[in-house]
Amino acid sequence: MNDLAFSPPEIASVIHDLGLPENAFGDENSARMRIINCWDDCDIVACPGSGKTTVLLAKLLLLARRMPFEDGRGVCVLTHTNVAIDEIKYQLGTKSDVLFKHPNFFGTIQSFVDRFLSIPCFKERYKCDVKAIDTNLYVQKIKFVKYWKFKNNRDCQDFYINKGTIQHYIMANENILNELHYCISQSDESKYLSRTLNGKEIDIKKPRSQSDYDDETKKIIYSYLDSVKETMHKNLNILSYDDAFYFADLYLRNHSNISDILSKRLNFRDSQKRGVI
Amino acid sequence: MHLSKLNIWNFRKYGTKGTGGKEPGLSVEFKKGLNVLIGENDSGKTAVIDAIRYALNTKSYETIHFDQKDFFKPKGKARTNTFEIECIFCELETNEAANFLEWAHFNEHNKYELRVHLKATLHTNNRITFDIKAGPENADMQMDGNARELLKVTYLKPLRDAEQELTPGYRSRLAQILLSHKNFQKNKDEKGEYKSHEFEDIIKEANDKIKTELSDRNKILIDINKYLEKFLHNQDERRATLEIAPPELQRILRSLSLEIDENPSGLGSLNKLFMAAELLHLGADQYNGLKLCLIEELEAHLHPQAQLRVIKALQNIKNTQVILTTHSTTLGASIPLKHAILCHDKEVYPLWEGKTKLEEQNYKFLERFLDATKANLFFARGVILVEGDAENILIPTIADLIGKPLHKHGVSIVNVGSTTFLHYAKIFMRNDGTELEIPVAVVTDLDVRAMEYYTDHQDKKKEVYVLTEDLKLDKHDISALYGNAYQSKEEIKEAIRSHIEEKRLPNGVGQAVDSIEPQDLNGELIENLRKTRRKRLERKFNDGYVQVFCSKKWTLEYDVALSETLRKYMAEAIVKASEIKKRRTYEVIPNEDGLNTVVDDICRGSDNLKIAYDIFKPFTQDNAPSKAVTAQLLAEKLRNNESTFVTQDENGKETFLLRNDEYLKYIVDAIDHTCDNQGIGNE
Repeated sequence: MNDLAFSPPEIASVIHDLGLPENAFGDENSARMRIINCWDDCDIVACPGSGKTTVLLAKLLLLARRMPFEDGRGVCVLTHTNVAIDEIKYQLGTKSDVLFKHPNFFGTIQSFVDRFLSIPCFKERYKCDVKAIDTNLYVQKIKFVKYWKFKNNRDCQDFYINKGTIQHYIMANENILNELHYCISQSDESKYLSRTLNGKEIDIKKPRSQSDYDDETKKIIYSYLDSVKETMHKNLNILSYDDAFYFADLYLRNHSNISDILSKRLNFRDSQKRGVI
Repeated sequence: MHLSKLNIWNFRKYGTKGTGGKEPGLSVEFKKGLNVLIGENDSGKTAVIDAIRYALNTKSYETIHFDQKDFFKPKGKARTNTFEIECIFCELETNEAANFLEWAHFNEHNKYELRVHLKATLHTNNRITFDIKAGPENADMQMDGNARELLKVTYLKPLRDAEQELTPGYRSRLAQILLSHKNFQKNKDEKGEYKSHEFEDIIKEANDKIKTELSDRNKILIDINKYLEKFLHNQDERRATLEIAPPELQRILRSLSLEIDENPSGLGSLNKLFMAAELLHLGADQYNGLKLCLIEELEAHLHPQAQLRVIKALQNIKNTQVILTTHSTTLGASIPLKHAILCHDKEVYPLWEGKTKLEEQNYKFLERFLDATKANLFFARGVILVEGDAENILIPTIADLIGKPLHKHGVSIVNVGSTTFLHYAKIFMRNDGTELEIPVAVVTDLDVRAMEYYTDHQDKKKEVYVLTEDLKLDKHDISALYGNAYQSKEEIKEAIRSHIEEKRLPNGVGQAVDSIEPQDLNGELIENLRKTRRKRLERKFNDGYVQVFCSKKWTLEYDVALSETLRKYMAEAIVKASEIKKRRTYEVIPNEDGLNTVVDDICRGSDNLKIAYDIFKPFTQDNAPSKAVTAQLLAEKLRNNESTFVTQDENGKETFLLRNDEYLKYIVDAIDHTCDNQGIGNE
């Protein structure tokens, strides 16, 4: 990537386009110029309002003008929130279009994971497209699924018979259905249910009582919970945000070469050297 | 990364298969490197090429214009209103996969692959819309324009008018090709604006020079403008300029012409030049793009030698998948069989390893011996494989005389020139569950000599071995072979091996066979030998649409000599042929009377076997007549007596005498097999 060193006229033009004062980035040795011409991994730490984003914007614009790159690689910009993306879009205007197109990626961490890992994994598993990745929608819809499972058909016979017990359990464990997570066991890669992402497997206990359920009943309650969640995925094709991370994890585990392919496209580096400017 | 599969639903002549039309009407597999679609006209070669380029688009920006006729019309039903094309790519390298991360998926074998799917819809007002998506089935999505760009193919269309396409002008194909080449992409300056291309600068400069020349020195422009000024409105300030071309890249390129010679060249050279220009794209390919080249009718305007050179050159292009169509026998003969895909009757049949019963040794053999005269078997609707010139000459005549002219039925005779039929026949024997509906007849001699031969040639070994119940195998039942007569011990061993389907004989069996005592030949044992031989041939060849037809007794000539209706024609042909051989010239033919006496002499008597042998005898002796000449003479004779063999009753219904001849039956059957069993075809 070293042949990408930017020339002074290029930088001047970008500064002009961004509406900054002519000598905004100072001379060649200023911290800002060092960031512009830095091609190693680095963390940029500075106080709010010091112009971190502006330098980043300038750098992106410089890259955008060089696109497309000969080897077909793209630039990946990850942010924590959509607010940051909108800000960049607003600042760069139409000049940034290329950054949002193939082969580049520009978005939140969540959307990156969804696009490259969760959705492909979901498609592979259920042979259909994801309808939504949205926890709000997920919580709304799960209310209905909760009742479907008590229908007296062959698949739900066990739940139907134990309707009272199960309802009692979910009433007592408030929000349990909304908070269910699929996790992958570290030891044998099997799937289990937990109340937090990568947390411990849920322990089913009879609420407000000295005596506990027998093992058989515990099994039925567990499989009820599992079945509700599975239906959200398999039949409704709706994922919560955390579910997306479960599928992403699964995809990376099942296909070890995916991370290689990703880094071919979006130039991640796996270097240990990190400089702080 | 290469195109591994193409599926088509309701496109052109391909409908759908299976219940509910779920299965594609055509499914073609492709391999890395060279793929040659070979087959007769209308076998669907162009539809395959078009389907690929419709789905993937071409590097030279062919305009894609769907037609109502692209939608399949089932016979007697309304035209379908959608068609679908699906391309599947596999073996994506990591850097290639990187470009298609959002769309590619892992298939059931856990292999990363990319599926591109085109669906076109015909609306009520004949408007056609289409969309192209990528991704696994049921979960595909729109593909980003930049990613689609990477999938474009290089396409060489069949050149109908090379001159037109290469000359400068608005429709210049050359300009189209060049404009999409990397070197003609405009670069950006430091402000991110497009810079002018060097070509534009050159022309601008030239224009300026010409302008100065014309206005300052020649005053021509000044004069023109003087008049122009008078014609124009007062406030109209436009003035004329003279230019070579407007300095815009596209206009400049359109004015270029590609030439190989200062004098006008023939169509062939132009065509080669044109191909070379098209192939520019392959070399200048984008970094991680698909390297796929489609060529239609490579042979157009090229003579056979040139075809060979072009195909050799194409084979040497590295890392590129080439899919081409042809109906040239020269190409059919020169491409490696492992790269051929036979198109027949709306189906495609790859000929590579595992798809047919061809084995490595067969491929090697065919590479050596499959030449242009034999390659017409790729274009036939029926094939008769023969072992020599005699059959090659006689069979078309016989076919005419039984009312089944071969050319009408699209049947080719392939003269193998030896008894190595199996190599050729295996081309048609499928190993992938499909059935290639091209009837193939293997016509061969039974080659068991008559008893008279052995009486005549005392020095020849007269031994025969009969397999009896004394020989028993521990694990296998070979009772079907008991009582069979063989001409050598080796034949017995081979028969046992083939019967028990093992490559080696079980322990001890070899010795047991070696200890079988020979028996003296007699008429009965000869018939036994014939029966055994016939069974062996049938076992070896009969497979699907491939069937063997062998003479009843010995050779074609001997058998015809046995036939009471035909023997005198054969006798005459052999006598004449012997005479020709003896005198080394075709001109001296004994006078008809003398000839007839000789023929009559031979044919006299009542012992059929003796007469037949006497007629055939010249072939068993030194200085034997040519079988080809004999066959030619016989064919002539048969044609001259057509009225004897083909009679018409008052209703015009024809009766074919040759159909009733028991000794010619095997040839008649072979003709019937190849003419009548052709696939149902255009339902």
